[in-house]
Amino acid sequence: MTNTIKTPENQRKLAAMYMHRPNSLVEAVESRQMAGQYQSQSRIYTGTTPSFSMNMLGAAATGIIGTVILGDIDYPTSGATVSMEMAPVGQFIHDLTPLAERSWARWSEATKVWLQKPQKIKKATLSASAKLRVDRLSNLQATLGLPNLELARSLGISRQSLYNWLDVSKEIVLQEINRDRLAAVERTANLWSTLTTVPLSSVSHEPIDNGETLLRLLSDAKIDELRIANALKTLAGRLQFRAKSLGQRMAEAGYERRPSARSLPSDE
Amino acid sequence: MTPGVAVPLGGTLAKCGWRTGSVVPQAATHEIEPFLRNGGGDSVSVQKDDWLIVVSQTCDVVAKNLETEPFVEVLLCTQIKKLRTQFIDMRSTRTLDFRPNRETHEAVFLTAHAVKDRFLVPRNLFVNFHPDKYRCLSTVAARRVMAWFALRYSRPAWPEAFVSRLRSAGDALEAALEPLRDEIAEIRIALDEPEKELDDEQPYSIVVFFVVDEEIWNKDVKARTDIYDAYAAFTSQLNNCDGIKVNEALSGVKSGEEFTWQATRATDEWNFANLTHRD
Repeated sequence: MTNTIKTPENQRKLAAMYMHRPNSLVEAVESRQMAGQYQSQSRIYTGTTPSFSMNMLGAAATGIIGTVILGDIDYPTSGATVSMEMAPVGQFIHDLTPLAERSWARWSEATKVWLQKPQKIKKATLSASAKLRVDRLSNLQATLGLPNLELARSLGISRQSLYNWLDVSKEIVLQEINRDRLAAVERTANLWSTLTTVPLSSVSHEPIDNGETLLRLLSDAKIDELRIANALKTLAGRLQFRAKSLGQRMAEAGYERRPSARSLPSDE
Repeated sequence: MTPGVAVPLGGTLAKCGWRTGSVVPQAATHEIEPFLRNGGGDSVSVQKDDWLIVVSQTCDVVAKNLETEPFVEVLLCTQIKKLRTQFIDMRSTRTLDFRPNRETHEAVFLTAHAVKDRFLVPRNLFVNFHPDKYRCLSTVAARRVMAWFALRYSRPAWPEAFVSRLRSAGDALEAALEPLRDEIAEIRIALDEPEKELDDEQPYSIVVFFVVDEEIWNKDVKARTDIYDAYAAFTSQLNNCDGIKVNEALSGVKSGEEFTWQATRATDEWNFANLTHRD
């Protein structure tokens, strides 16, 4: 069956090749540790069934009609147990090295793709709940316009916790106390949005009754929603008496900003 | 104008109709071609489907005297079958793929290289002919080409070590900013070490601002929501880049009214072209 006899030079080349560990493969294997539920799978099969298979370190053969690449991914750099490349019927192959390199590259690539698949699935699962959490916070921020430190105080959490909540790549289960607080602040934001489109931050530092500010009320251990509702109405009423900004006065006088290059419609 | 006194060059060119975005007619390209020479001095020929476009500012094209503005800059644009994503909308500061005029040439797509295809032609040559009657850049296309040149020379030169750390997240960062396409916010960033190539183990600390137009900030809750969404996604992606750390305490979404001139000076405008200029 064997049409070529492996020369000592070929043997050295192949041995050197198997010693080489493709970085991409090593990285893929390392990252695979994150996808625990898939670790039980240990073999990868790709390609079509060959008419026969043989050890790569033996020799190339003619008559193979397909490729099968079998690799033990628990020991991915130990060398493929079987790795065959198509060889046209009747063709005599003198040098095995390019053939083996291609097989090795394909095995490496296929293994990498396969190893990354479970991670993608996991990420997609993560992003659904995290996205909802971040969306709720984005709505809050859009209505309130508070800096993160002030928003964190309103939510009764640390600034670092808020950063974690805002990170869509992080899976976080909110405790009941956090959920209740978030819901209360959302109710406050919803009420404010019925009163005005201006972010609450523009008046959140203004004193209301007894010299308190709305921020102070929002930071209380227990939120007094009735008192906050009254404060919101007072503050919204004050907005119409606010002095106009320089930009607003310029716009009213007809000095409009020049559109930037980014405002050009896309060529897509 | 006194009879018998020659009209200044600029006036003649203005009468001919030359301006930014004008196209040299096919019949006149043979007069221009001797001045189209590549870096090696070889002449460049203009093909039938090429667009040879004036890219000097109109005020320079019609400048009164030849001495004050001796040349007109032209860009030799070649037709391509379709626009390539990586080269449209000024994503690359080297190559621009664009539509020259959606109204008159809907199915025409052009490409040009900022340096290789840009040439200087003596301005007085242009008195001999008029711009192409049928081809000219639309206002949008002309603005895009000019903005592309401006971007090439005004973009911040971020350290290569910083750019390379961002590169793997390029697509995700671009996706995060998709809701901001309508120019509802400007992204500005500051680096703690804007001039240094840091070692792999040293992170770049960056401050990120999404600056929102005052009118949107005060009146458009939906747009603000999109902006905060984009901000969260963008900073999350940045934090996921190895060797980059967002300074969350200083970063944030700011109204244009609140973001000061001082803060503008301390930051660079984010642009994806900043990431591609070393590709």
